Amino acid sequence: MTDAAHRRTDHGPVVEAAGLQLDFGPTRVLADVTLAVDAGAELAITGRSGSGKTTLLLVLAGLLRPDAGVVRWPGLASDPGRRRAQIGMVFQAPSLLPELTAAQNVALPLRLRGSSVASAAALATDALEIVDLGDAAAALPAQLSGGMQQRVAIARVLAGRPRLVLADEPTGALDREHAFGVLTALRDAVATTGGSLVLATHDLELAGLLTDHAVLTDGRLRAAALR
Amino acid sequence: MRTLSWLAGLIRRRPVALFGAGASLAVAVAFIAALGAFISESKAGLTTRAAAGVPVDWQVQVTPQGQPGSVAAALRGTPGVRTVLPVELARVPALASSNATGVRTTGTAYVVALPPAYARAAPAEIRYLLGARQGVLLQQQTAANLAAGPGSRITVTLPHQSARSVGVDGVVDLPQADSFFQVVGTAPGSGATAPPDNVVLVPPDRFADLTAGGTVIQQYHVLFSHRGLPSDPAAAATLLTQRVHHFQAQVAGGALVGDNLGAALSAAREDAIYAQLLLLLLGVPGLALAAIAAALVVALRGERRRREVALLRLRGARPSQLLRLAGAESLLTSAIGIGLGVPLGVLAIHAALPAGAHLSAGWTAIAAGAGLALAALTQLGPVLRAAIRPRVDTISAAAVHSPPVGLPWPLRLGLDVVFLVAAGIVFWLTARSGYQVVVVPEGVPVASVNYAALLGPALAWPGLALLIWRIGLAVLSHRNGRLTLSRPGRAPELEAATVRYRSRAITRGAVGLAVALGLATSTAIFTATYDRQANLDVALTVGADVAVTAPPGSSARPVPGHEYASAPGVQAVEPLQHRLAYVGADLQDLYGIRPGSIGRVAPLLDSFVPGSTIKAALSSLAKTPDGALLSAETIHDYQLHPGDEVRLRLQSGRSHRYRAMTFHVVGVVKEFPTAPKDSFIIANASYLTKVTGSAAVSTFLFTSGDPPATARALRAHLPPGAQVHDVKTDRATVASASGLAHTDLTGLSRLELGFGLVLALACSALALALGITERRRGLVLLAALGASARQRVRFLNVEARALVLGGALGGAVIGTAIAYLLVKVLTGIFDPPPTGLTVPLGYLAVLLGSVAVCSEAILIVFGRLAGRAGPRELRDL
Repeated sequence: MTDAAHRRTDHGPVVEAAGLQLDFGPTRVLADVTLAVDAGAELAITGRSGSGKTTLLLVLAGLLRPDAGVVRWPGLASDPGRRRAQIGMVFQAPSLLPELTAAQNVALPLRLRGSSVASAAALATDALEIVDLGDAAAALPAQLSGGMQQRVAIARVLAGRPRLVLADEPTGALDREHAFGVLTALRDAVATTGGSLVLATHDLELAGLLTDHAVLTDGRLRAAALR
Repeated sequence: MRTLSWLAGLIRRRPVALFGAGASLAVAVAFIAALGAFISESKAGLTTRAAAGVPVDWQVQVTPQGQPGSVAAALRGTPGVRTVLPVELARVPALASSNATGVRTTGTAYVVALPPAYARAAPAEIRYLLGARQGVLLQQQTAANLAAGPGSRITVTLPHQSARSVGVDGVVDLPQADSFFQVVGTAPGSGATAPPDNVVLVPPDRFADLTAGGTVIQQYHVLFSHRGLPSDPAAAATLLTQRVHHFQAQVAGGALVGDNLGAALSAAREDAIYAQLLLLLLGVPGLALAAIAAALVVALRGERRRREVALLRLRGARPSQLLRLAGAESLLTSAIGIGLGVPLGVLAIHAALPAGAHLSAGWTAIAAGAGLALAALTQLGPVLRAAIRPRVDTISAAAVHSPPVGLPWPLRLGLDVVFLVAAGIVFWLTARSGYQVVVVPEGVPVASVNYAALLGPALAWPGLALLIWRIGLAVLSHRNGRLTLSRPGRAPELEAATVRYRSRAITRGAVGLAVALGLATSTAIFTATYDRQANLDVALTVGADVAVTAPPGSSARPVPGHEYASAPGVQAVEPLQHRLAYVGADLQDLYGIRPGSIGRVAPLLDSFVPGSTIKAALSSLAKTPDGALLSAETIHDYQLHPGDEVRLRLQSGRSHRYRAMTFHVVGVVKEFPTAPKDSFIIANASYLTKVTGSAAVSTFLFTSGDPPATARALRAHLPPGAQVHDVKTDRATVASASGLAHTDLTGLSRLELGFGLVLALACSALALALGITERRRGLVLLAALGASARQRVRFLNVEARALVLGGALGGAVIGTAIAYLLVKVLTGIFDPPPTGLTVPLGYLAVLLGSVAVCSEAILIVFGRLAGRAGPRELRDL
C-alpha cells in the first residue's frame, strides 16, 4: 500500500453532514457540524474528552439521530440494512459479545448479513491474521487482554470490508507497535474498498498520518492542518 | 450518604433487576401470609365444626348420692353454660300393642321424659316423622316393631308386672341415639354401647306414672355457648376438661359428666393432625419453593453482583463497607417484597379462602420477617463470600467477565443422587409399613404421626430439582445448534454458543420454573385425586348422584320409582330395599339389590371386594337367589365362610314379626353404597320380597346430570319422613377423611394452585426479564453491528425456549413424581384409596399456556426495549 493510495480523493463523498446539532439534556454536544468525507479520504478528528467525537461518529454511522441537520451517505447503499453493512464501526471499548469466541465475534456481522458459516469463518480467520491474533481465534474475550480484545473488534470491522470505517479511539488500549499496525490495517481496508476512514483520536501522531484533520471543540468542527 | 447514593444508583440503573427480586420476594411473602390465614382459619373451623356437630354438650347424670337441685344449680353456675335441660330415663320390661293381626311385644324398652323445650334447644336429637310433636312419641323402630303409629294405643309393662295403656301421638327418629343413651361416666371409646331398639318419649308429667317401680336415671342435658371456645381444638378440649373438673369439684361426687363436646373436640384434635399433614405436604413445599424461587431469581444477578463486589474491592472498598451496601440493598429489596407481598397476600386470602378468613398481625409479622430473612440470605451471601476472600488475584479473577466453569458445588457433591436415594429408601420403608403415616393404637384415643414417612417427598423435592439442574447443564453445555435450520440471516451456531455460555443462568431459571411448575402440577394432581376420591366417598355415603330414602322400618315410603323418573336431570333410577336384620343378637342393615342393574346408578369398585372383583361378586349373588354378601366384619365376628348357611331374623311384611329366614354366604364386601362402614348384608331384592312378603322400597338411587336440580325437584314430592341427598350438596357439608371440610380443602387448593401459577409465571417472566437485562449491552452491540430487531429477538428466543422447555419438562417430571409420592404416602387420608392419579388436564393446559404466553410477551416487550440503542447505551459500548 502506498501513500498515494491513502490520499486518493478523486471520488465523491462517502458520507456528508450538514448543520448537525445534538443536545444531551442541557448540554449541546454537536453545534452546526458540517463535513464531507470523500471516497479514499482519511479524516482524523481530534478534540478534548467530552468534545463530542464519539457522538459525531455515532451520528455519521447512522446509529444516532441528530436533533437538527442531515447526514447523507452518497457513496453507500440507499437501503438502510445494506448501508449498515457497509459501515464498520470501531468502538472506544472492545465491545465484544462475551459468549462468543474471537473468531465468532469477528464472523458475527457477516453471519447476520447472510454469509455462510464457511465464508464467514474464512474471512474472520484472515481478519484475525491481519491484527496478529490468528492463534487466539478460539479464545473467549475474557481470556484475552484489553488490547487483544480491541484488535478482535478491529478485525470484526476489517472482515466486513466496509466502505466507511468510523473508528473511535481504536488504539487507546494498544502499544505503539500494534497501534500503528492497526491503523495501517484500517487504512488498507478502506483503500481496498475505495472507501473512507474517519478516526477519532487523542493521538496527534496517528492523526498526522491521515490525509485530513479536523478539531472538534465545544461541538464545533474546524479544519486543521497538522503537517 | 454513600449507601444512599448506591441505592439511588440501583433504582436508576437496575430498576428491573431490583424490582424483579422484590417481586419474587413479594410472592413468597404473600404465600406465607395467605398460608398463615389458612392455618388460623382451618384451626378455628375445626373447633367450630366439631362443636356444631354435638347435639348436647354435656350429659350430666345425678349419682345416687347426689341431689338433683344442687347439681342443676352447680351447672347453671358453670362458665359458658347456656341451657340446662332435665331429662329422666327408666327401663321397663316391655312395650306391647295389639290389633287385628294379634299382639306384639317388644323386649326391654326405655321410657324417656323430655321437657317441652328440648327439641327446640337440641334439634339434632329428635326428628319428627309422623303425627304430633308433643305427647307420647314412639321411636320409629319401636313403632315398626309394634306396628303402631299416631292414634294407636300401646301398653307399657312396669317392673312389677303392672301395666299402663297410653295413646301414641306421634313417631320420631332419634338420630343421635348412640350418644343419647350412652353410659355416662365411662371414658369415651372405652366400650361399645348399642342404643336401645325400643324407646318411647313421654311428657315429664306422665313419666312417674309410666315408670312406677322402675329405676329412674336423672340427667341434665347441658348446652354451652360455643362463642367463648378457643379456636384451636386442642385448647378448646383442654378448657372443657377443666370445666368438667371444676364442676365435679363443686358437686363432690354428686354427678357424672358425659362430655360429648370434649370428646368431639378431642376427635377434632386428631383431625387437626391430618390437617397438619396436608399443610406439611402441600403448604410447606409451596412455602419452601416460593422461597427457593425467590432465591433463584435473586441469584440470576449473582454473577454480576460478584463482579461488582470484586471491582469495589479492587478499588479499595473494605468488607464492612461492602456489607453495609449489600445490607442496604437487601433492606430495599425486602421492603419492596413486603410492600407488595402483604397486599398480594390479602388479595389471595379474599380470593381463595372462605369469607371470614383474615390476615392476623402475627402472620403479617412472620411473613415480613421471612421476606427480610430471604433477602438477606440470597443477597448477602455472595458479598460475604467475596468479603472473606482477601487475595487480590482472586478478586481480579472475579472482576474479569469470565464464565464460571465446572459444576455447581451441590452437583459436584452429588447431592441430587444422595437425596433421591434417601427418598427412595424412605419411601420403600413407608410402603413396607403399608403407608401407615397416622397410627392410632387400639383403644387409645390419641393419634400419633409417623413424620419420618414425610421425608420421602421432602427429600425427593431437592433431589429432583438438583437432578434437573444437572441434566439441564449437561444438555445446554453441549448444544451446538446443529438441530436448527441455518437460513440466511440466521446464525444457529452463534445462538447455540450464547446458550452454552449462559447455560448456568438459563438452567437456574429453568430449575426455578420447573420447581414452580412441579409445585402447581403436583398440587393439582393431588387435589384432583383427593377431590375425586372425596366425591366417591360422598357418592358411597349418598349411594348415587341422588338418593331418596325413608328410614328403614318406618311406615313412610317414597312414592314408586317411576314417578321420580321424570324429574330434571334423571338418567336412571334404581330401587334399593333397606331392611334391618338380626344376625344372632346384632341388628344389622340389610340391602336388597338387583345385581344386574345396581351398577347403573351406584359407584361400585373392585376395592369393595377383597381378592375378587365387584362384577364377580354381583354375578355370584345373581346366580344364588338366597345368596348374601356379608361385610368383612360380620364374616369375621361370626366365623362365616362363603357357602355357609346363615339364618337372619327379618320382619315379616304381613305379621310385622321377626322370623328366621335362610341365606347362603356367597362373598365378602368391605364397602357398599349407602351401607355403614362396619356391619351390613347385601342380598337379592327379589328373594327379600319373597321371604318377607313385602316389596317395600325405602330407597331410590338416581343417576343425574344435575344432582342438585334433581334433588330440588324430588324434594317437592317427598312423603313425610323421607329425605333426599345429592352428592354435590353433601360434598360441601360433609367433612372429609382428613377432618378438613370441603371449603378448607378448596381454599388450600386454590391457594396452592393460584400461587403455583403465579410462581411459575414469576419464575419464567423474571428469569427471562433479568436475563434480557443482563444481556442489554450485548443486544445494543448486536443492533450497532446491524442485527435487525427480529435477529436480536431470535438470540433471546433460543435462550427463552431452552428455559421454558427445560422448566416445563422438569416441572412435569417433578409434578408427577411428587404427586405419586404424596398420594401413596397419604393413602390413609383417601377414602376409598385411589387406584391411580387423576390428572387435571384443563388446569395444566392453562398453566403451561400462561407460562408460554407470558414468556412470549416478556420477550417481545423486553427484547425490544433492551435492544433499543439510545445515546447512553451506544456511548457505553
